[in-house]
Amino acid sequence: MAKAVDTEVAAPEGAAGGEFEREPVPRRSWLGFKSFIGQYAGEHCAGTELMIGPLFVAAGVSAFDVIVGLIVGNLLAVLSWMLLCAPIATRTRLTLYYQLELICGRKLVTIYNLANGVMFCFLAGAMITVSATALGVWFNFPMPALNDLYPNSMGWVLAVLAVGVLISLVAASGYRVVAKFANIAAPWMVLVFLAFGLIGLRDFIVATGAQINSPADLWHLFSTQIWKGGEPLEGQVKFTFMHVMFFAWFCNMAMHIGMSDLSVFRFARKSWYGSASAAGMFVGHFMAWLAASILYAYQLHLDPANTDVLPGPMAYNAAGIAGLLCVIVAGWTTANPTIYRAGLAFQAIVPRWPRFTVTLLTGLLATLAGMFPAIAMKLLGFVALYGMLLMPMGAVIFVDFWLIRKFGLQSNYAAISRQSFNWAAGLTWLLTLGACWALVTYAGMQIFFVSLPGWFVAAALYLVLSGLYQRRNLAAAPMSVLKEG
Amino acid sequence: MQSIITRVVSWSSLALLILFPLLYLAGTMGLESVKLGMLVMTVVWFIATPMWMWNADEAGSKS
Repeated sequence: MAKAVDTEVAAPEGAAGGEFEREPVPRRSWLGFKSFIGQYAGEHCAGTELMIGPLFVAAGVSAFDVIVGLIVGNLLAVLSWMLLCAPIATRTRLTLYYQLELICGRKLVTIYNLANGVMFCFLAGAMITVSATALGVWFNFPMPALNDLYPNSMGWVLAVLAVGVLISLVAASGYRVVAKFANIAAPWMVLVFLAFGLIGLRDFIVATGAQINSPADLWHLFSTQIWKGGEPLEGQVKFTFMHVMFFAWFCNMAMHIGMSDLSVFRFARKSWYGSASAAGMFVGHFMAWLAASILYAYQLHLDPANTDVLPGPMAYNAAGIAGLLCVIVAGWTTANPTIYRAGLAFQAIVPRWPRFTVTLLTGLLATLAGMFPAIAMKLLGFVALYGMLLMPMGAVIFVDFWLIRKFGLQSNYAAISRQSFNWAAGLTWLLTLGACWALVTYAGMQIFFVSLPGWFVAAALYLVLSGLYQRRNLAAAPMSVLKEG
Repeated sequence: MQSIITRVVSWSSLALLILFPLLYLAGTMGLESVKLGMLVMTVVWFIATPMWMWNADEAGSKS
């Protein structure tokens, strides 16, 4: 999940000071394929990868389930960018915000920004948590265990506070310098992640006395020592192939199916440039997750009672100070833009407040969240929730762009009817989340899977509700009148 | 010319950074040496790379 869920982060729409916010990107500003490869490879190698990989092991995944599940899930994610998000982006060439404003109206977009901002805050909190675990190596204070929900020592609280305040101050001052630093750090970080995997693998070979003379030997080591399957650790959900696949597919759901990356691919010359996301998926969400999971599996191999998921100590044991620096840099360079963007999202709600104040307060909120290890330790569930929360608006955009006119209805209805709140879209969002909640609560469906049926519910609801809403408005005022304003 | 030298130094440091763990995997290098080597290459990368990448970014954004 990277500078984003992977940690990866879509800009909160509407407030970012980017280019062409309220107009299609002109041809002269379109970008080539390579621009997107670099962006995705860098953004999806974040501090939170160091949590997700180990949590797979804690969830009792088997070698086949994790490796094949990640390949298939990441492939589905790439296809989602390529076939759902990028084709709309390269046809409209608008930001998500402006696209949503045309469909939903300004007030509903403000609510969307609020939801996005809150989720960004929690995500940044998890990134601060990851960075703070590195301080624990130096200062040796008690750190949270796998099932801890609350801060467990004053040292931990102070470490998170120190890291969080520092990150917040930098974010509030403008994150341009950190963004540049992140670009420089990205290739180094990717290789340190790879080094974690190589070193962990060697450690396993030595510790088990395995002889690796063929791919079959290596697979045997994977399936009997590293990703052994079986029961999950206490307090964790058992992960099967389907869990891994759906998690890999949906952990960036807000960006592809949820359409946040319309803002990215509006600059792409061709819609197939969506395939550039494969660089991020197979570097960050395959290699980095597997590497981090090897380190955790080795920790469990040495001491099955030591179930703590602490990226700092794990990285330090594997790669020394370089590993520790990687944890800090990965957490910092990804938390920073996340806080900045959450601040911008909130600023859309209180536009008169200075950006510095809003971003600083946002950072402090994220810091407070980071003190509670529950978010980082339950990151798998949180990421699934994040995708689910924003997914319905992606379905609304998809239906509005491709389908709604085929049913004799108006697309971009808020713009045409000059509504500031399209109730059809608002109710679709609310009712879809209600349906997802009901599926989880009453039908026993796990949160990792619920977004798939949820998308179809949202699409159908938006069509039906748009029919009712537009016809009701049409009865009140004919469309020709609405169009004339 | 200076830019070319710093680029060569940068990319060489990354190549060495990953070479050490590969040698460890092959069983021809000890872990402590790997950790030290990775740290040195990290320092080299973060000194050499900003010399050309920082300005290159600015030039790119201006163009």
